Amino acid sequence: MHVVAYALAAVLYLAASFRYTLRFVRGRSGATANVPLLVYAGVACHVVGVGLYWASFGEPPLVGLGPSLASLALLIALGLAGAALHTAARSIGLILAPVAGFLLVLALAIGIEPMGSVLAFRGSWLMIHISTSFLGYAGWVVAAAAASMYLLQLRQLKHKQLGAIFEFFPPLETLDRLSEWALITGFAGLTLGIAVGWAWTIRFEGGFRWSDPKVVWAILAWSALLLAHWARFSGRRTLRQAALWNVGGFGVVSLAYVVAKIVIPRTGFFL
Amino acid sequence: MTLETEVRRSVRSEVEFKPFVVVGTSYRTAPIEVRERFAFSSTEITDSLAHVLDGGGVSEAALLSTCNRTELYGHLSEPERGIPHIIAMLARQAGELPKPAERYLYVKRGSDAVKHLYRVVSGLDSMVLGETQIQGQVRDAYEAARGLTGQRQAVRAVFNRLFQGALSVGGRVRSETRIAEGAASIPSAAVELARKIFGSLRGRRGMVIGAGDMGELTLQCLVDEGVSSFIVASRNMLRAQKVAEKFGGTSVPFTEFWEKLPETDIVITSTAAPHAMITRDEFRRRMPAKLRSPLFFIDIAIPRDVESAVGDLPNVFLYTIDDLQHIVTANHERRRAEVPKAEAIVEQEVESFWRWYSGLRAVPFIRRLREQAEAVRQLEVDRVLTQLNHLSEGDQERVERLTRDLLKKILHQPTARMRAAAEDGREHDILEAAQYLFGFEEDGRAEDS
Repeated sequence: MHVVAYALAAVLYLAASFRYTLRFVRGRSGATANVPLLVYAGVACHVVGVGLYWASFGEPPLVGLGPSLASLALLIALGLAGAALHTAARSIGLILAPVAGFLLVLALAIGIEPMGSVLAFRGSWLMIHISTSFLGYAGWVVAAAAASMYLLQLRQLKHKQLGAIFEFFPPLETLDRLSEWALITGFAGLTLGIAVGWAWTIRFEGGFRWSDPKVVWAILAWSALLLAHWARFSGRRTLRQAALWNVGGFGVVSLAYVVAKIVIPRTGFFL
Repeated sequence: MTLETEVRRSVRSEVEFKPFVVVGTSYRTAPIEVRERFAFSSTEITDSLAHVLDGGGVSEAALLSTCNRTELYGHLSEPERGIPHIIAMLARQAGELPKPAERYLYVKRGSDAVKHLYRVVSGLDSMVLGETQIQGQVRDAYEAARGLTGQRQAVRAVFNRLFQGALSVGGRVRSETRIAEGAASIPSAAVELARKIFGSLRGRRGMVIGAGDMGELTLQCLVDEGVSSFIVASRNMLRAQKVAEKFGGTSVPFTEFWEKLPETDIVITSTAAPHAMITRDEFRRRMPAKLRSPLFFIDIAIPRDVESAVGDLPNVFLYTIDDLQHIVTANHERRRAEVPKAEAIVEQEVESFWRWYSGLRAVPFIRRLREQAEAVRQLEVDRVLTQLNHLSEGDQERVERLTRDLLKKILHQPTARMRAAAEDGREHDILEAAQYLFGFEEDGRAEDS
């Protein structure tokens, strides 16, 4: 049953993506109030899916690539739903709705089922570790989406080419604020996730395995997020530079993930 | 046009009764000095409407008076009497003019009058195509007319429907087309850009360097959008103080503008300086190395006050009067491209109003039919209840209710069909047949509300 709820959520996210894209292509000024309704409906179905999964398997959907991607998609969709409450920020759905939809479709294609006994769920420590880390990644996705829209809108305003992007994208100030809050949430979430993961590893496995690709990637992601955070809040970089650091760091980390997943054999449930 | 539509239209035009009129003047027919003579204040509107209604020939009326037009909309009971009376009233308001008042006035009747109102409220007849202010002005005209009650009631069923329909058309046109999108003037283009940079302008700080008319106009727009604190820097301190006082800002000598610049978000420059007074080098020397927050220059001076290279600096946005003019021109073109869509909506809604209005022709007949049927029902119920006097009060009430419901159900279909026939312009034959069947001798079509 949980798969049906997840599938319905995916359909609603993709329908929202279509509506966002249509308005953007038609050069309309921003998203209307009814476009995010599809996102809200999608989030509701998604939450039902999580509940059904938990009820079926006795654990939240955090372990295994399919469940992880589905949960990440939910957090991104929640970020979008939160942003959409602010009228001027609604248009960020142009990027976030397809991302949430794509991740959920990917999760459905992989299969939203728990992994085997080796990677079995190990109580509340692991749950906190994974959920806070996902909160960190989801926050960063939202921050990077807002930062990339900021850069595009900035380009339009600087070059005085006031086309569809100018019309549809939110104001610079809104994008900057959104990116700022998402960065704070992302950084706090990932820091907490890594700290809990470290403590959890010491508690259950006796120490940190620095050679584990998952650990290396997590440290890389945290470092890139730290740099993006520094660029935004230190006052030493312009807002444009901060946005570039944010988007660039996110791109590098995402690419590293994909490459590691392809190149390194037996990378486990997440990496 | 299909044969069916053609036939329907020709049938309709034969039977159509058009007791609507709009008499008015606008920027299309009169220059501003004449238009302002035709303008009405809010108290004059009420008195003039009362006068028009008192004069006879007009059963409902509304007066729209804006800086670009003065129009009196009337629902006529006697067109031959009503129209000259409206023209005379408008001419009296204008007083002495270079030419006779009639030369500046236009008269539209029937569907044309309804269509005109719908086009006006949609901004299709506005000087700035698609402007939104007119929607509120039409609403005000409607509300002012509704304010007249009692014997001189200016708005009844027909004008209620006409104006509510008009306001709904305006809403549809603006939501379903892009006719109102994009700034249509230089000050509004500046405001639109500022909003794309800063989001809400509430609490933003502004500065006007030099205080020309366009600068003042742009400042007015920014203040309207929420810019709360601003500085006016001008070589003419008297002028600077006057502008600052007008909008509640502060004035400083021209030479101090550099000191105030770091505290500012939006700068409007409109001096008569023969060369750029804000150069890139000077800006870099005087301003912090890296601006943490955006600074928006609106340079509406000719020659320009801000060197174009300043716009290349991080967090600085520079728009000249030419840039703003390009935006306005592009928006106008885009708005013009939306006109066919907007006109189609207007046509659709005029047709819909006209169908409703035509349906009213069946109302007197329907009323008479119901009254006659009710009289028969009452007579028969009284007769039966006299015979059944053993029934309790509750049972007698049940009999009453049963017969009322029965009558309602029996009459529902014929009355709905008669109304539909009238809406389609077929009421003549249908009502004639119904008159014959129900034994009515007069059609009573004078009733329209």
